[in-house]
Amino acid sequence: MGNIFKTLFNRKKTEIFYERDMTPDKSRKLYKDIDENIKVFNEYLADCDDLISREFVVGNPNGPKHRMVLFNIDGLADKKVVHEEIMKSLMLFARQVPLEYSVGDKFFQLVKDGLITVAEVRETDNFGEAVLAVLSGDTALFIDKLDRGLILNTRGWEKRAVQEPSTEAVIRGSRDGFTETYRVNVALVRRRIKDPNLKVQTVRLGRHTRTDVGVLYIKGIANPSIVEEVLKRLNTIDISGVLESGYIEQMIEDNYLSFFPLLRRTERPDVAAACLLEGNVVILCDNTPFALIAPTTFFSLFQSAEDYYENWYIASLIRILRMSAAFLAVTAPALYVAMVSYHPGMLPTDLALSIGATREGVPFSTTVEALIMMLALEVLREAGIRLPGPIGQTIGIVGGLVVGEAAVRAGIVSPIMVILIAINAISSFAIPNFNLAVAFRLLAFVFLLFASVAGLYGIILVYLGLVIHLVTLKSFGVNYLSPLVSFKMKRVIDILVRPPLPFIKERPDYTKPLDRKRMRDLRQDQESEGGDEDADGR
Amino acid sequence: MKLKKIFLITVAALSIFYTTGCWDMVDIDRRFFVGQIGVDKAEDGEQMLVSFVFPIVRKIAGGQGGGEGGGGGGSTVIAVSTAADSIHAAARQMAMRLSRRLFFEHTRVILIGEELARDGIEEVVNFLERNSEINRRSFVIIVQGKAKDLLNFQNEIEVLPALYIANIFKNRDICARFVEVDVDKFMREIHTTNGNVLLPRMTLGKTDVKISGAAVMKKYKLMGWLEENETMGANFILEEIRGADIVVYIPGYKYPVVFTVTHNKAAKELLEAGDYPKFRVKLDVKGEIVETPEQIRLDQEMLKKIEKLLEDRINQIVTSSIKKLQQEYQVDLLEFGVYLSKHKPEVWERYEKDWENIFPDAEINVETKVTIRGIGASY
Amino acid sequence: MLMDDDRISTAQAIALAINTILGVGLTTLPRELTKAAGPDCWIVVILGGIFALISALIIATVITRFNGKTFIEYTSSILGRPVGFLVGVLYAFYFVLSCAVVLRIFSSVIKNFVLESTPREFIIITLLVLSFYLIRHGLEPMARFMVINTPIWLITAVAAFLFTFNKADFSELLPFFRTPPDKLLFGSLSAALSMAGFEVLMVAGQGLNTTKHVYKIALVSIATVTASYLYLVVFVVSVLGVEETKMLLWPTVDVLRSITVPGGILERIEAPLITVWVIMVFTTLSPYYFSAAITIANIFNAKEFKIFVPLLFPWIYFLSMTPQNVLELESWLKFVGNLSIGFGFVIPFIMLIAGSLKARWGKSQ
Repeated sequence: MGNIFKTLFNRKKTEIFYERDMTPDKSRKLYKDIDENIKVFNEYLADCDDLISREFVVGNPNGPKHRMVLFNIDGLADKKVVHEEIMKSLMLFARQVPLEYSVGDKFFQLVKDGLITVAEVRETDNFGEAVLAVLSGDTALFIDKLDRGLILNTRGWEKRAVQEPSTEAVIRGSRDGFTETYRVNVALVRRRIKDPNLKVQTVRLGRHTRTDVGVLYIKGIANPSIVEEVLKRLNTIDISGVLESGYIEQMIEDNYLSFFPLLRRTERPDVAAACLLEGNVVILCDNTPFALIAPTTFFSLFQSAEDYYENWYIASLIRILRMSAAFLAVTAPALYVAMVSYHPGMLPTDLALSIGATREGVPFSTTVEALIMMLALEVLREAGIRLPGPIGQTIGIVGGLVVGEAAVRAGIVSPIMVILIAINAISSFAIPNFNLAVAFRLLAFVFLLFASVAGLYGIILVYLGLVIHLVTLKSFGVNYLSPLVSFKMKRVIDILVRPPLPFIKERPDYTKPLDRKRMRDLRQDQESEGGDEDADGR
Repeated sequence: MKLKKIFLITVAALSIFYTTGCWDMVDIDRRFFVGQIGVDKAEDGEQMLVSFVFPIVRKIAGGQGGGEGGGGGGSTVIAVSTAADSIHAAARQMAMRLSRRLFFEHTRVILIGEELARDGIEEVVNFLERNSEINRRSFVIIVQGKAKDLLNFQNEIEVLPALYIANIFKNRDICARFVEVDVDKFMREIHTTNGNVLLPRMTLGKTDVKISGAAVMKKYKLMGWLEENETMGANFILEEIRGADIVVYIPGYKYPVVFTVTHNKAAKELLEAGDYPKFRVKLDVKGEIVETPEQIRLDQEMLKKIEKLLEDRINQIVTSSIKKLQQEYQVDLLEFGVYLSKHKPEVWERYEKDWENIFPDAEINVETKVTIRGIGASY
Repeated sequence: MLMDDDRISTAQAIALAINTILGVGLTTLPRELTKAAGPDCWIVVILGGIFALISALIIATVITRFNGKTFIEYTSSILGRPVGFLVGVLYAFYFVLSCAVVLRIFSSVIKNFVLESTPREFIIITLLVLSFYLIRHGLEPMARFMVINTPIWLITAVAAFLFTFNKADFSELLPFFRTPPDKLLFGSLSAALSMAGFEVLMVAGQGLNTTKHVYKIALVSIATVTASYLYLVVFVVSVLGVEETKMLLWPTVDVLRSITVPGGILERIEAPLITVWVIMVFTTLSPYYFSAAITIANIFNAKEFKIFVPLLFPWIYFLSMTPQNVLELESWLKFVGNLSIGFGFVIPFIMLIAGSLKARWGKSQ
């Protein structure tokens, strides 16, 4: 991987004007001569046909004329803003500028403060900033005889509207999801947390892509050490491009080799807000609707947005259900193989006989049978994603029903195996986090292989290995398995049961929040002052 | 680099396990689920004749396995037998004749032929103790006749004859005319008493089987039988009654009174510990009347009268079974020794060595108290 | 030496001690005790618990005096460098031998009841490799591992034996107090031996983040272990009867074999229960393995104990493969048991006395 990036860099190294730390190269200053500026600017963006440059002359008919030039990128800059708020203002109102203002710095100040009706205007004195701004959708305005330019925020491109997130559908809960535009995403979070303590720190990542990546946290709740750690890790990324938050996720997670997602992702602003309120750090990335949440624990991956919107017992039941589903998704084939091939004594006699009867005439061993079915199912699933919607469903039906039925009739697999693999697959879809579900499906294969070597003993070996792995995993310095590692019964129960809201008086302690209290019950305010001074079971 | 190494080592180790591995794997369709084991004395008198019965899986369970849809008539079980020195040896000898592995974890009954039982069942005990595959909840039964004869027993109700036999024991809830002994209990008792145990007796009809009465084992050898009523008496003393019917006739009526026992307590008590001990057994029996002669009216007086009759009848049943065990078989299967060892250890120390000879002369009084708790739905 | 952040809390230390003690002993203990004391086996468990508690308290006292030193450093400081070195070597040997015996008994049970024709090598190596994987990460992850797994085996074990309730005949424990005192005492010694394992804390004690609560650790862990053994012995004996318990090699497993699952969902559950027992064996093996590695690291004053972990691997493996049969294994077990008197009681006691004398002598100087 590294090599590929290196060669990519080397080939394209001619025009790198960005520093490693992603601040633009400010050394190349603007000239006083506008022709010089136009020349240099065009050099930077040579062969970029989407660059629009417009030269024009404005000024008091009685006074000196000013040559001006506008640069922006076709499609990124909002044309309407450029027309109405920049061009129109300049061309019409500059005529009435009194003469004394119509020279040099005074004119520049006037243009900046009084003529241009764009909300965000910045000054710049170098090409680096200007080029970067233009590439981000801003408009650069240079004026003759001045070595300063203006950067006008005209960002406005075709974007997807805020829609219901497709990967995290809920029955109850808000329907808006993150979009591909960073600013919109930040706004969606901000709309939920109208608190000046919600901080947004933006860094730009990717030598070529220069993607905006925002780190969101609530000052006073989030532990500064975690925020610093996130920022530190983000700043170690030096990559040619960040196209999706997945790049960031893989570059900053604690253990690259683990099956398990060490950062939680979400498409939902309400989830992001909830996590912020618990003291997590949210990482938003431009061009993707997926936000990352750090730190993450294993059990938080089992949570879905509506856990906290629904009644507590519904949420608790569903949580337990998800846990059972996860158990089945990981171990169902392995347990079946262990029982059928190693310990048929475990099965009730009648069941053992009927399983034996269905396996009569099946040419493969149970393990091979299970492997075939599981692989077939993975292929079906993948095919279902790639194919367009309606056909995808057809594939599901054809694959699941027709092929399965035919395979059973042909005597290649036993009907019980079909049932089992179906249960296994359905269970894996009940896990809210897609990455975790994939990890579990992979684990199911590992469990299956070991079960076929040593039966239940093999299964327990994989279990032990898995727990050892999980125990040593950390996500931003937080134990991945917390709160299970602590002796706090209240927190351990929280894994399975979502307590009624009035009982959740404190934030979870795995994020080591500065402020533990999340609720003040005005009805019994005085009681709950008692200290709860531990930090994560240490 | 390090990663690559770890990966390679893991792959190598896995492939080694895989190519040489799966040592214990025997797929479910590669096994014969032995339902019952029969042990007899072989013709030559030296060896044992061991028989195994297992189902033809293809024919049962109505699965569509293989598609040819389980063949119609014919037996659904296969029975094989061989002469061997031990049960384990027999199972291994079978390997020469069977296409699949014999598998004992689902064994439900272990049948011991009368002839072999009279010679001694130490070998069976040892097999049951050492074999880790055998189901500790399967039943041990002594067959009056040959266990091998049971191979021909067919039934159309349960998939396996063994299940049929095993399910008979579930009827102990309503019938106390036989004893129920699974491997667990068998091992516990035979070790505690050094070979004295009551086992269920099974008799074969032409087309059916019947479990009734009990076989009296003394020092691992079959001494004889207890008949049905005597077994019930023994069950009274052992507190093993979960449901039993007692029939008494009231003088002057043609039809009997039928009484169902629902609760039964037996309190043993040592009265004297001279040369021979003197026991008193207090039976506290509670139950309901289920049938009476149509003519009588059940009032308090009548109930008292019936209770008295029942007490006499139970006394008679129990005493007769004590008599038989004391006089005919001279073996303590009613846990009097166990009672002494647990509750009167100092007395037991005196008797322990010679208990075999002391027990037959022990005096045992039975006192029964019957309480009628219910009288059905009419007076 | 342990890393600075590799510290365990009191609760974790309790979990560590309990998990270390409970393990392979469970399978054979009822036989040992009924052989020694017949129906009075439960009294023997309690007496054994008292013995074990005394020795644990001695160890705890020694630990409180470490004062940030490692076990070997402390020994050297009170008894001299050569003695400290010797004690360290002996302890390391004892821990390695314990690992080997644990593994061997474990593989015997697995081979006898679950995987009959799977080679012993496979069973031993797989568990040893996993243990290796765990202890490489240090003391704290190991303790965390124990904490997570404790409820799993605890709930399983308690539930499993409750299923035998209908078969249990508690009168098997009668008569009370009929065993002569000398037998009772001897039996309680062998019960105390099954509670060996607390000495692991002698070397792991350097990883405690506070030594304030060592007595609590000793008390809670030994009490829990005693209660567990009591529960086990009472159930095994009342299900199997005294006489059969005496005869069976692994009476506990035979009780598991006779469990009826309510509802008949599963016919026999000894295989899954033995698999849960694997966890308990693993949590016994790992602390011993860890202790052996850390002891050797302390002897050499090494910065990292991790390099000693792979070095010990072959020794444990070959030692565990040495006994020829179960009977020889039993004699090994006895030997290790007798050693544990020395390492769990005698040496700590000497250190206690020596430490006190030295402290007094130092004061009078």
